[in-house]
Amino acid sequence: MKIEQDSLKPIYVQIAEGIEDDILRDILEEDEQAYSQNQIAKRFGINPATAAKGLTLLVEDGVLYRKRGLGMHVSLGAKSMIQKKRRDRFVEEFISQMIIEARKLGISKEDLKNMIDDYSLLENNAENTIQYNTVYSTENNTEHNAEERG
Amino acid sequence: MSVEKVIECCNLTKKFNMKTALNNLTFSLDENKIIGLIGRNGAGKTTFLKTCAGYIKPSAGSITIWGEKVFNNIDVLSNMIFVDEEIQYDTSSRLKDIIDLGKTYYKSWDNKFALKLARYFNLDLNLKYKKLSRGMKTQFNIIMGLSSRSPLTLLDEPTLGLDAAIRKEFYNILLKDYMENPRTIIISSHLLSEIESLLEEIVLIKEGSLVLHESVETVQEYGIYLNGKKDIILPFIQNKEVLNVEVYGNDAVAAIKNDLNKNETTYLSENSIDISKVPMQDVCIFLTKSKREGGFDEFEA
Repeated sequence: MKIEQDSLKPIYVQIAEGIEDDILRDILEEDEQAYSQNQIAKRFGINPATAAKGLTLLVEDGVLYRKRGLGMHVSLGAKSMIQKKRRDRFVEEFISQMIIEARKLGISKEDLKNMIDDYSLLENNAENTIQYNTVYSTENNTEHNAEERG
Repeated sequence: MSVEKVIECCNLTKKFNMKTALNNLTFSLDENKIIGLIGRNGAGKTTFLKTCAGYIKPSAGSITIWGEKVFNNIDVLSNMIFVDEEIQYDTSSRLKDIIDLGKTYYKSWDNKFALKLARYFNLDLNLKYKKLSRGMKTQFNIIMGLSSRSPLTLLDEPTLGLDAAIRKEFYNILLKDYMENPRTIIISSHLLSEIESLLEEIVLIKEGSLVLHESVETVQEYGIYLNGKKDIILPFIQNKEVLNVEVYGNDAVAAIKNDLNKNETTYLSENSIDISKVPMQDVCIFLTKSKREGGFDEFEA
């Protein structure tokens, strides 16, 4: 979790999203204790009221709940709840931004699609090195064949 | 749970001869918040704090603290501390004697905390106050300010003359101590960016008048910068509340109030206009701009 002072997003929103990210990455687990207002305030040197606002956002969304006497906890089902919420915003926040930038750079729709395909291929390969090696050697073979032919 | 008001001003005015230092201030501050008092040099920050502390009697209007008049009110004064660089101690006193006197002046004084802070900042308590360097005086004043644990703590430019590392350390200690011992703390500073994250509310004043009293979040979201082609930006801001505009050749940077709708945002990004947040410090500068519009470059004596 980190905070950028000059982000367009207010600090309390960044706090809420930072906690959500920690839940998505399993740093915070469901039905386990989450960070307290004072922990957040101390860690980032921010006013505890700001930290509380971030936590309140998540309580209102049902991602966190207050367990009596035990402080903030991550709700059961929080992870899928966050995923659903983020997916709803995905087009607006990422896809539209990408298309605007692509337009600026004169990247065609086809090129953009190819880029996504190429990129996701690399991603899969990074997770699975065996597959990466296979693709890599195939590419090598193709080059090799081409040279032979040439 | 109802929130107690600590300070209530009603048409508070202070005149020094012909000069109006505080002009018709009306607002109130809630208990147990950290509040930033922001304004340019000479805006009236110190006069306001001194009026809160009972050093100055209002010319007109009123100020009450915990519902009571403050001027010449010992009971109220023992629950507050005012720290500024002019603070006068008996110059021949040693630091340890000044610290010893803390408990007689301040109801909530914590002597152990004072000694701990002095050790932490490496202050030799056998030194006389007048022998301290400027930075050491500031550190000692801060120690007094924090250790008083006063329900109303007024800090006027508390970090003047301290280096960046100690300033940061001081703000961390202040925040930690505030969480353990909640109280009302008013900090005036010209380095707003440095104290911004500590604050819950800010009071912005200009030439003795109130410009705004808002939560930090509200001020942080107050304005946006548009940066890009002048031909797009200048017509666009015609019917907007403009905080500031600067034009460089074909490029323009405009700070406007943050009230764009979705269509406007799309229009701007499609025209390659970059949108970013106006930092709180800049918002305060724009809202307290003087009448010298063009700046020094266009200034003619």
